[in-house]
Amino acid sequence: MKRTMSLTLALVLALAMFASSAFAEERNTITLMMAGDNTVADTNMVLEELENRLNLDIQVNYISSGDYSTKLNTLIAADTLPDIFNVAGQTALDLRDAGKIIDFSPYLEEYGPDILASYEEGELEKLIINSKGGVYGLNNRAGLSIVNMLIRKDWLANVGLDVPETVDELYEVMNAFTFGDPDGNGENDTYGFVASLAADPTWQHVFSAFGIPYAKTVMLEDGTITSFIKHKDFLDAVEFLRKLYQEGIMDPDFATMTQMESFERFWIGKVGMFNWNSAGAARNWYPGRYTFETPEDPGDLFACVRIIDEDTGLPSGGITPYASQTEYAAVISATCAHPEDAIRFINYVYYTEEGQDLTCLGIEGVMYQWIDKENGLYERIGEYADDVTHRAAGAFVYNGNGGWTVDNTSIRTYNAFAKASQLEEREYQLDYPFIPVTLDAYTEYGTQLREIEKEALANLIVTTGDVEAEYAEYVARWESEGGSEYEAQMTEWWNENR
Amino acid sequence: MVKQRDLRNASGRGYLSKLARDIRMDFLLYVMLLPGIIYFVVFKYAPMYGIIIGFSDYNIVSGFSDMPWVGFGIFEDLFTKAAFQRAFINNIKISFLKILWGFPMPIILSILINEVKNLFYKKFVQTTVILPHFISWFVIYGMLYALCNLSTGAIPEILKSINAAFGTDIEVVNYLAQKETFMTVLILSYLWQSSGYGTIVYLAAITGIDQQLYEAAMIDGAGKMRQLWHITLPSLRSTIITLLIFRVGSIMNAGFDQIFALSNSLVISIADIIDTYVYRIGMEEAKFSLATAAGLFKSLIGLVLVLGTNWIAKKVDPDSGIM
Repeated sequence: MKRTMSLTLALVLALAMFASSAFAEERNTITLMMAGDNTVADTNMVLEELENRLNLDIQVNYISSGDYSTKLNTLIAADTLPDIFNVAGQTALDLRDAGKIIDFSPYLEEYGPDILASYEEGELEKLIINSKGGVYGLNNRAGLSIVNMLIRKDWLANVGLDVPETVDELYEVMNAFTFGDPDGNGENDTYGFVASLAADPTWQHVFSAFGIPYAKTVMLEDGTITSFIKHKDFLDAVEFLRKLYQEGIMDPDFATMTQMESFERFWIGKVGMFNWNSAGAARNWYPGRYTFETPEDPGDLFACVRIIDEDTGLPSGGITPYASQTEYAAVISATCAHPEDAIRFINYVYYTEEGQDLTCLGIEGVMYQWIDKENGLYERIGEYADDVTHRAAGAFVYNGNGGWTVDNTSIRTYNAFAKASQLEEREYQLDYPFIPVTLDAYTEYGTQLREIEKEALANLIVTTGDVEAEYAEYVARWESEGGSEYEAQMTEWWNENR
Repeated sequence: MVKQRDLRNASGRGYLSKLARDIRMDFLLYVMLLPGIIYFVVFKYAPMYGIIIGFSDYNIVSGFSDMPWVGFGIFEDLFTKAAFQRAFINNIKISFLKILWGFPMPIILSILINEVKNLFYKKFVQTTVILPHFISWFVIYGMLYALCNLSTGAIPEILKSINAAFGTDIEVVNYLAQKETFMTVLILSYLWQSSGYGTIVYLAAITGIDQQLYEAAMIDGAGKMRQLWHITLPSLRSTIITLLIFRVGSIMNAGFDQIFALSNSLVISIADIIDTYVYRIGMEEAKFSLATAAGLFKSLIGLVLVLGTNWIAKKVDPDSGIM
């Protein structure tokens, strides 16, 4: 008996060993670093599903957007680059020239058929990083949502005003939204305007109303390309903001609040007008993030503000979104052990409908279900109706823009209001001379100059001194700290490449 | 000449043989010293090789392999930058204020805690004042923001209520976003966070004071203030001087974490210090040469100050000083 038992146990043990070695799958590992500001679990349903579908071990280093370049610089200096990452500007070209990233064109036909199918003939070569031949980087062409200025119709009705169309009307509405008890709670607890220095889009339309593309470049009358702070009407925009600040219409915490805190002001009904793209505000956040009662159709709640430019007579909307189209590129490091898997990953996640849906919407049947797939109508299921839970489980994290194809999941699933407001905003968009960030002077002085611009704006809004004199000092500082050199290079580039 | 060299060799041999004898005698003590030595070699001395970046045109992509030597060119570039000059002046100002207010606080706090006779209450106070040291500056910023922001902050709400109730006209501002008030917030939050932790050394030193001195003083009719002035403070003198030397030596460390977390565009002109400047140009703009030069400059000033303070301390009191 004892012998039989021993033999049986030995046999079971041997079979178990055989089974484990036979069925254990050895998965290739790919590492990637990406920027984003969602709170996501390290291991989550979407990532696990993705690993199973691609038969890969995927290790994601998810970095907050503000820290991404810092982290990347550190990894480059330490020569410990992840397999897949995004890079822009001169750094991208330096990495290419130093052989730190690979030309992955040989892998595209076999492992990236959807990538190839997605681009038109000669389109990839237009990317700065591919300008010397080969394919070193792929760009995100679809993440081009434009910023809208959304206004709450119920608040407008409460204060008896219409959607503003001129700067004066804008002020009137902002004033009423601050002091006219627009939420009807009987308390003086709202603001007419909320913006955060940590979130550029939140300033766009106020500056656009004066014909100024906020935080972008402008062309002066003599043809010089320079910073927006040197626009001839910059001080007019500042005076408008100063008035809002001094009268208590503008949230005075604009310099200390984070981007998320500025969102929260809108979500909890402390402000009734907010600059953000409608796809985010009227779809991604809607209705889960809002703490007040919302109608089913966001179009019943929101309208878009477009101010008529006094000089041109044209409505000034969001700024034309350029940067992500031409500058940022996903690249594969030379240390990547399995470039074919890296391409397979990029191809699936960013260029196929199935991969885009998974990483954008989550797992079908578990996290969401289609109502009318043809028209992009879907609903999130159960606990995943909550935005925070949805993102913690990995949706909208690895593919927040919905994919890199022109028609991606995000665009396919726009609700009617988001779709209409995005398209309409395009007609009113404020264009500007777009300069790539590959210029030497940008690499050398770019961050410092942006800091000076922010410091100037913040202090000019709150100062009680001589605004014009202080403005002149900031401009002089901007010029002496590398701005003049940057201006010269931008102007030269523009004249040669416009 | 030959004689001198022989003497030197003899002295060197003598030192080595004495060291070998000491090691044999206290072998375990030397073994215990080893991890400390390894730590300093690996983490403090070996990385000093990187200082050459400050004298070279370093590029993060090409790395150390292709790095043209530029001598003091990077330093010249650094010193002409207005942003660095501003950071340098702010650094001195903030450090000076922190020493002025922050250095005496732990001494005062220790003496006060030492006077508490109820043991339970004493421990409670001690723990309460030490705990803030372990709170991250980013959490402290969150707390300060919750206190100071004008929309929902506790302090503005209280001030508004006072104004409404008593018809006063107290100005309600965000203390974190005003140049006039930011420095006060910076120093007060620094005192709150660090003073308690600083009491540990002083309390230990006070505990070591011979109690018979106090008893004798009491018999002679000395009150609490007299005891403090003639016994406690003189007994703490060498501890105070040693810690002052360390503090002055680190005068260029104005507190990166705190300022990085608390500053914003409205106050950056008075809050930007060398460390935040180095972080910005080094980590965000990847100008490692410039950042290294700034860091090295800062360290050299620190070294000079340590040696200078030590020299002064030894002149004033030969038993003081750290070397």
